[in-house]
Formats: sequence, structure tokens, C-alpha cells
Amino acid sequence: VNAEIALFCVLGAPVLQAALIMLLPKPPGLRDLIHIGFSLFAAVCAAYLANAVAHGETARIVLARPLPNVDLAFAIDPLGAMMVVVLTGLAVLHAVHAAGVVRAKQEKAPARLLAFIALSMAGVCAVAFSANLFSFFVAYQALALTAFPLVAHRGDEEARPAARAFLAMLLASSIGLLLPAMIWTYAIAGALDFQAGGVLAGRVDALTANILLVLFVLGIAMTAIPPMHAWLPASSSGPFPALVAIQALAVVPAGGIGVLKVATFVFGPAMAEAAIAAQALIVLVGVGMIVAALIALSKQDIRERLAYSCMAQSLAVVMGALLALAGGEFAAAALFAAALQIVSLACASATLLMAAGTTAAITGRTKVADYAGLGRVMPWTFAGFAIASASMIGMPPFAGAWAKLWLITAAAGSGLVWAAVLASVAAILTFTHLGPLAANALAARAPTDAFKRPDGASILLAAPVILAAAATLLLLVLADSVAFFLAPIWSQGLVQ
Amino acid sequence: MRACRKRGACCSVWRSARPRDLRRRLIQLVALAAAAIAFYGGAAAGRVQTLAMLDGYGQRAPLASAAITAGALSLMGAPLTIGFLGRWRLVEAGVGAGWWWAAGLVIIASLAGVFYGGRLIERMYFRRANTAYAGDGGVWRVMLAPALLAAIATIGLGFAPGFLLRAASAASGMLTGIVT
Repeated sequence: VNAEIALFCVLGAPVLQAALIMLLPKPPGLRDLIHIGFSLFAAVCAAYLANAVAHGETARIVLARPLPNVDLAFAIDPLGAMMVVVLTGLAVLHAVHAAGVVRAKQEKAPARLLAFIALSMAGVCAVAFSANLFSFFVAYQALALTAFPLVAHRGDEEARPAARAFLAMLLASSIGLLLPAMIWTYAIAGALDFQAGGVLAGRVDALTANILLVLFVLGIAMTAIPPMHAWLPASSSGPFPALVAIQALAVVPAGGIGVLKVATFVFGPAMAEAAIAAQALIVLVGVGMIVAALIALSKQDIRERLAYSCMAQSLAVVMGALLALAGGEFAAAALFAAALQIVSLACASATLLMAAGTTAAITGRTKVADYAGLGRVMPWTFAGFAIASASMIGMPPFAGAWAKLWLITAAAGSGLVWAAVLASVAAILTFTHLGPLAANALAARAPTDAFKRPDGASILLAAPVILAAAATLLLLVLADSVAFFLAPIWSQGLVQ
Repeated sequence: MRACRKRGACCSVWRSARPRDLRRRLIQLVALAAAAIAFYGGAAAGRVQTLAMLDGYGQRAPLASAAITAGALSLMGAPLTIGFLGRWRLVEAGVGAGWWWAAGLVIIASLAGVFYGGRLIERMYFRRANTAYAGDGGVWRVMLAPALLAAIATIGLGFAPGFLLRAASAASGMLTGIVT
């Protein structure tokens, strides 16, 4: 029962948080205190849930029953619990940072910005804990709708078309591709519940499995899979706190979690029927990773560069999930790589965006060329930036390295050496667009007139960056326990 | 504006026109009726005649806008509204019978719904009121009541459709009895 209350709190607290922030926008101190306090509460509940999962407890809450055999239900499982712990933990750091940014930049309508950040956290938690495809679909669409005001926040001529493109692309792909795939699955299996081993395992012929896989993977456009990726660069014009919520904490991780859940619980790691579609999609995401990393190199605005960099990393998650369905013996390793990649992407991307947000708030600089030497005047922020860059590139001992290592191992082990090569090339290209940038910021001569105000970055702006960067080191000690924690969800499918 | 919206909606009702799918079509009809009452009621309560008059309607007439939003969401086939149930049933019937084109058309109709419904909601909540219309936005309260009831039904039946499903199967049983 306690676990159920905690689950309800994780999903409901952010909604209450958003309502309170909207009702009490002033004084700013109270507003920020509510935002940080509730984020902390959600993180504590998430940690409690992870502990409950580790002890073999289950919890399930049913909110409605809109169709026969289909509930709007949320349940805890190892995958969802781990993702929610990481994301809500980072959300606490981000809450502190957002409080600093809205003060330093005097962002207009700060209460609305913070409220929708809270709501999008509720959305991603609901995605992670969704107990069946229908609940996933509802949570996914709710997340798209709550992230829309984040993109549209400034409300100017740049933001409004961007927000429209964001919403149109995410909703159109989910209704046009994900919804038919879901109804088709329901027609085949008679149920939509996520279960270890896969709902469809042993129930579909090869042709249906291949078509369904394509519909599912392209329909979950939150992974920024080409050709459904345009929403991600379009959204990069938003304010920095919104960008962290979209790229690091809510929307992009929700896409990764969705694809991973579909691969694990709908198809199952023992499914070999969909191998052709899986390989074709691996080619698509592999080439997409390389092209995204190249486009990132060509972008001179830090927000656009980080958006394309995030896209390349997010596609690596999809590659991991697809490798599990490509018919090799390394299915579990591939799913593990995808899960680690979501975690490392969330940590690294949150750090990079928060560091860029601090820089923009304190120095007003958003161009890549203007970053030279800033590390000398903002050592903590750029130490975090450099560590997160190293993690994105895949340098050990940071989190990204372990994800890349497992991904390449799984690709090579499945006999798809070319997929391993594509992933490696993407990592090298990530180095070219982040490595020199970080090195230049740390090593070049300090600019004389860096700060808009003489006192530099406040503790609210600097501390979250370095703490989030430190989080990328945690996997060094925790990788074993994470593997042990996640093992039940795919070992079951493989034994059968 | 009204004519084209109505036509698109009716097409999806009669698309899989086969006797044993009557139940599904009845659900979709109820869905459409509830959505349409909420939709037109909300608009009529504020004497809205052109789309441009909806600019900033969310601030001038929050309750009427909520009714229109519920109606638009249901016509879009958003999950947890009664419109979603109708769409789901139609696609399921199409897939089950191997009528892929029918399932595809329902999905395309939903997508079209997202675009026009989305534009409507955007106008109400994300645009400033047009000064030419801002003055005469007085809401007719009697007109608002049925609209709000229908809006509540649109959402409520989406959450718990058991009652509607039973009624639909009873009604389709009666109707097919009359037809054959």
C-alpha cells in the first residue's frame, strides 16, 4: 500500500506543484520554494519506489477503464523506476537552476514556465510507469501538450511557429502511426498490458511484426528519429529552463523510454520475426546519428548545436532497443545499453544545457565562438560543461562511455559490425562538435568584459551544473547494481 | 466552417457501413452529438459567427471556451474523451475485418481533426482578442448550460463508457431487428 501511495505521489505531486505555482506566483521566493520543495518530494518518492522494486514489491493504480480489458493504469517496474529516479533527481537540480535563471534573466511569466516544467515531469513519470500501451499513449500525448507551452513560452514571432511545428509533428506521428500500431496490437493480442517477454511474442507472423515495428518506432517521434525529428531543432529557440525540460528531463527521455518499453514489453527480446525491419531501422538511426552530429558541427548557436547533439545521442537509444530485436544473442546487452544511454543522455544533456543557460544568463553569450576563455572566469560551470561533453562523446570513466561500450559490444556480438562502426563514427563526430568547444572555453585567454554584472554566477546557477556533471560519474560505481536491478525485465523473455 | 466540419465527422461514421458494425457507429454518433452540442453550444452562447471572433475567447468567456475545447478534443479523437472510443472501435473493426483502407481513412480523419481542432484551440487561448469583436462577447447563460453538460458527458463517458457500451449494444440489437 505504501508503494501505491508513493506511486500516486510521484504522478500527482507535480500536478499539485504546478497548480500551487500558478496560484501563488508572488512572492518569487515562495514560488521557487514550492518548485524546489515539490521536486525534492517527487525525487524522494521515486527513490522509495526504486527501493520497493528492488525488494520485489509491486504497485498498480487504475484511474479509469475506458475500453474492455484496457485500463488507464500505472505500475512500477525496474525500468520505469530507474528512469524516474534519475529524471526526478536531475529535476531537483534543475529546479534550483531554473529559479536562478528566471531571476538572473528576468524571464517574463516565470510562474507559467515553472508550472509547465513541473507538468512535463508528471508526463514523463507517467510515461515511465505506464502499465500498458494505452496508458503510455495517453501519457505521451499529455506530455506533448504540456511541453507545448514551454516551446511557445516567449510568444513572439519566432516561438509561435516553432511551437506549432513541435505539437503538429509529435501529435501527427503519434496519432498517424502509434495509434494504429496500438489498435492493431490490441486486435492481435486482445490486451495491451506491458509484460516481460512481450505481448506479441509467438502471436504474430513475420510480415505483421515488421510492419508493427516500423509503425511503433516511427510513431514515437519523441526520440527525434528521422524523418520525424524537425520538432527538436524547432524547439531550440525556447528559454533555457524549458530546453532542459524538453531535451534532458522530459520529452527526449520519454521517447527513449517508450521505444525501450515497446522493444522489451511488446515485442520481447526473444522476438526474431521483426529482424528485417529492425535492421533497416538500425541503418536509418545509424546514418541519422552521423548526419545529426555533422549538422551540430555546422551550427554556431549553442542551443542549436546542443539540440542536434542531443538528437544523435537519442538515436543511440533507439539503436540499442532495435539491436535487441535484430535476432542476435546479445539482446539483453543491447537493451541494457539503451537503458544506460537514456540515463547518461539525461545527465550529460542536463549539465550541458544548464551550463549554457548559466552562461547566457550571466554573460549574455549564446554563440559558440564567444565561449573562448569563459572557463577561466566561470571555472565551476565550465568544469561541468567539459565533464558532460566528455560523457556525451563517450570518454571513460563518465556515464556515456559505458553506454557506448555496451552498444558497440551488442552490435558486434549480434554480427552487425557495420552498426558498431556507425555508432563509433557518430561518437567521433560528437567529439568534433563538443571537444574543441569545451577545450577552447577552458584554455583560451579570458575575455576582459565577460560578466554583465560584476558578481558573476550565483550559487543557484553554478552548483546544479557541477552536481549534475558529478552524476555522470556515478555509473562508475553503480553499473553492476544497475544491471542487477534491471535484469528481471529481459531475462524472463530470454529464458522462455 | 461548420459545413465542412460536419461532413468530415459524418463520413467517418458511415465509412464502415456494415450491419454488424452498427454498435460501433452508434457509439460514434453519440460521441459526435455530445461533442457537437458542446462545440456549437459554446460558440453560440457567445454569438460567435466567424473563426476570427474566437481570438482570445478563452479570456472573455472561460466556461464557453472550456465547452468548445472539450468538443474539439472529442472531435479530434483525443484519448479519454468519448470521441476516442468511437475512433478506436472503428479502427479496430477495420483491422479486424481486413478493411485496411477504412482504418486508414479513420486515422486520416483524426489527423485532419487534430489540425482544425488545434487551430481552434490555439485561437481561443494563444491569441489576443480582435478589437473589433472584443466588445460584444456577452455570454448567454441559458445557452451555456446544455453546452457544459455535453462537455462533461464528452469527458465523463470517455473515462467510464460501460453504460454507453451497454446502451449501444441494446439499441443496435433493436435496430438490426427492425432492419432485417
